[in-house]
Amino acid sequence: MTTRILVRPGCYHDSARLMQVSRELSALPGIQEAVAMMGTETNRRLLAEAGFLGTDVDAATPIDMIVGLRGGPDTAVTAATAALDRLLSGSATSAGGPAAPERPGTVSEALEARPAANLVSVAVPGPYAAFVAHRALDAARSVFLFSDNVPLADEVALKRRAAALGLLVMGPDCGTAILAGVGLGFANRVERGPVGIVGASGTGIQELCSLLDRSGVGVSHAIGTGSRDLSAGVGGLMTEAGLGLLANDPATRALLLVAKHPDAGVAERLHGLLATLGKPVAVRYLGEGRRGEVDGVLYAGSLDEAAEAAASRVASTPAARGDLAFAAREAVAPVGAGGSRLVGLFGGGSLAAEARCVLEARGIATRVPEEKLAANAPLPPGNLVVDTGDDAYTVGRPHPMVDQTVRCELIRAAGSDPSVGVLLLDLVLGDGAHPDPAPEIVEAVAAARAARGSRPLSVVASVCGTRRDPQGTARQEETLRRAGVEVEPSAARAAATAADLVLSVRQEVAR
Amino acid sequence: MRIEDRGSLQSPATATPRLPLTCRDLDPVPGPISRATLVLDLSSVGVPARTRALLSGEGGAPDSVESRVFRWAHARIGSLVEKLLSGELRVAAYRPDAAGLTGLGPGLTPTGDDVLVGLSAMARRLAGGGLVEIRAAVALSTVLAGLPAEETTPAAHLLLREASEGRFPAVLATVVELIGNPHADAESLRTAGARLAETGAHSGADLLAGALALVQGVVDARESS
Repeated sequence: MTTRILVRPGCYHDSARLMQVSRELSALPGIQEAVAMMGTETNRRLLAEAGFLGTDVDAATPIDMIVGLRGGPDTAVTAATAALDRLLSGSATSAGGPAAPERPGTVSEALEARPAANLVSVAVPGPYAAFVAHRALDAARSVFLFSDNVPLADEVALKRRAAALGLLVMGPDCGTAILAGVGLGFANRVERGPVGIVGASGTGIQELCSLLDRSGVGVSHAIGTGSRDLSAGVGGLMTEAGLGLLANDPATRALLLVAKHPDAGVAERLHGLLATLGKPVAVRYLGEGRRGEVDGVLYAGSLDEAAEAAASRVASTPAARGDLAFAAREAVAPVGAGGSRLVGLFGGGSLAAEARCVLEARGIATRVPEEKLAANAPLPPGNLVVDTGDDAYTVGRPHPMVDQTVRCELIRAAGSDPSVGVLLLDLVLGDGAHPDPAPEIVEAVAAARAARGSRPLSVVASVCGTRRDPQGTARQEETLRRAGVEVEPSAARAAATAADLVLSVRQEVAR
Repeated sequence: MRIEDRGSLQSPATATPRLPLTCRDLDPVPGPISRATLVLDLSSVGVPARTRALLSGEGGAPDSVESRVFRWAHARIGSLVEKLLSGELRVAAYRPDAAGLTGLGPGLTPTGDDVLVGLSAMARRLAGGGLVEIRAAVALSTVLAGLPAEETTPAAHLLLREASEGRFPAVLATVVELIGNPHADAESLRTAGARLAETGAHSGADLLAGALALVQGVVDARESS
């Protein structure tokens, strides 16, 4: 009888896979027992008591996999060891030679399959994300870190190390990046062009890409930093690194920076950098008002203004749509006394923040409901702006940019409420997003309108998308328009239109 | 670093990373819980073989690692249940058994951690229903909060931390809330129990074992008294 114990460092699989590995190895000829467990101290003691002993095991940690094999003859155990490697690489069923795993289990497997890659995309559960990202840095690769729930201390350690190595750690909680035309996460298909973007906000980056595309301007690179980069704890480490890269990139002629709620100290320090980059820079800090130009850096009042400023600095002719103050917009048709409340139901968190800012500037006080909205409960009072991508709405289901079920239920419920006169929505297109979102939205709007009888409901939607996006931006917009939805090219402009509608209803009611 | 042009690469498939199980707070207990209801509930909820093995300490091939997991877990669950029911208030009294369970067994959230989470959820529930001393349930939670991160997997540590703050996997919370609730029908409990048991490779059955061990303990203690 032979007993063998193997340690696979940094190799973890979900429980179902661990069980499958144990079962398949146990079924091999001559194998009496096969166990696959994580290398916790208790498990190491348990295995030792069961006679599985080995020096490697003492050094194992809870993120290493330990496999114990018992059987005979010796050759059977050796064969099981080889089978284990095939099982773990995911190619157990393939005949032929070793195949490159489609979804590699470790960073080294991924880099073995694609040695020329200079970036590793990590989307594993939060508690494991820092470990995996460090393995990519070990291999001198930059990281796109989609994972959330990563502790702040891990983020700081990763970013400090990356900065020292001259690498990027984009994330954690990084939804969007576009590097040299390659989209990572949720990304719009943009033309290559002269504007570089650094952003701590995924939908903020997407909205900028969409607005630039509508002006016929392309993007050199869009570097996501993760939502906490401009917090006091992280100190803007990757924003600084990203800006530095773009400043040195000859293809980038103008820069855009977008972030939500930067820490004041970090923003002040970044200002010093922004003012000395040697390229035109426009900044949009979402939720904040316009500060204008300071030391040559434009602090824009909306994403639209920031995008247009960048476009105008790189374009040979002035940008086609010069309507930043929303002053020359066509007057919207009055809606009749259908209710004077506004409810904004967003898929993009940054777009919700942008809309609130515009609404408030136009005298429409809004609030984010404290309690999660429910389709079967009465709406709380006031004008509401809701980010349906917030954790409260996404428990157990994908983000509303992918799965619109919850948002459509809320559209039906809020739209049916006779006190609501205006619904404000966004549609975010691009790779990773819902393949055809407009029809579902239109159906929910129709159901809401049907429930209201003769009382009209105005619906305004912004569409964030580019000409090359797989959903067909023009087709999505057309579907919405045919259903009587007012379509605008940005969240800020949609909010301005919605504000006018609310004010017109109020005036009518006052009369 | 230079950003190299790799325009031929495809966008990677993206999946929202999530913890193994979504957690939530337990609903408040509507009123005192009666032993008679617990007896009825124990007969209604289906007990999978793995849960039974953990509750009895017997299962798996003789001398196998699996059989040892059941034996080790069973002894420690029994000791924790006994302490909870005797109204033990000293946090230190719960620590050795909890430390013996954390990191024990197969899975990305090892069996022992799942058992601790199930036990803690049921302790809170029964404390709300007057069958377990509230301060004893709190002592167990305190121990969970203090279990060292390095003694189990990161996912399990996060689950323990959630549990110590009163948030439990939703599939478990639903079962725990139906147990001892005189207005709940047997079918709902059966369905929720089956859903829990099907969760993950082992986790559902292990969570259920933790919860049912305490219910069984209450029923047995009352019978003998």
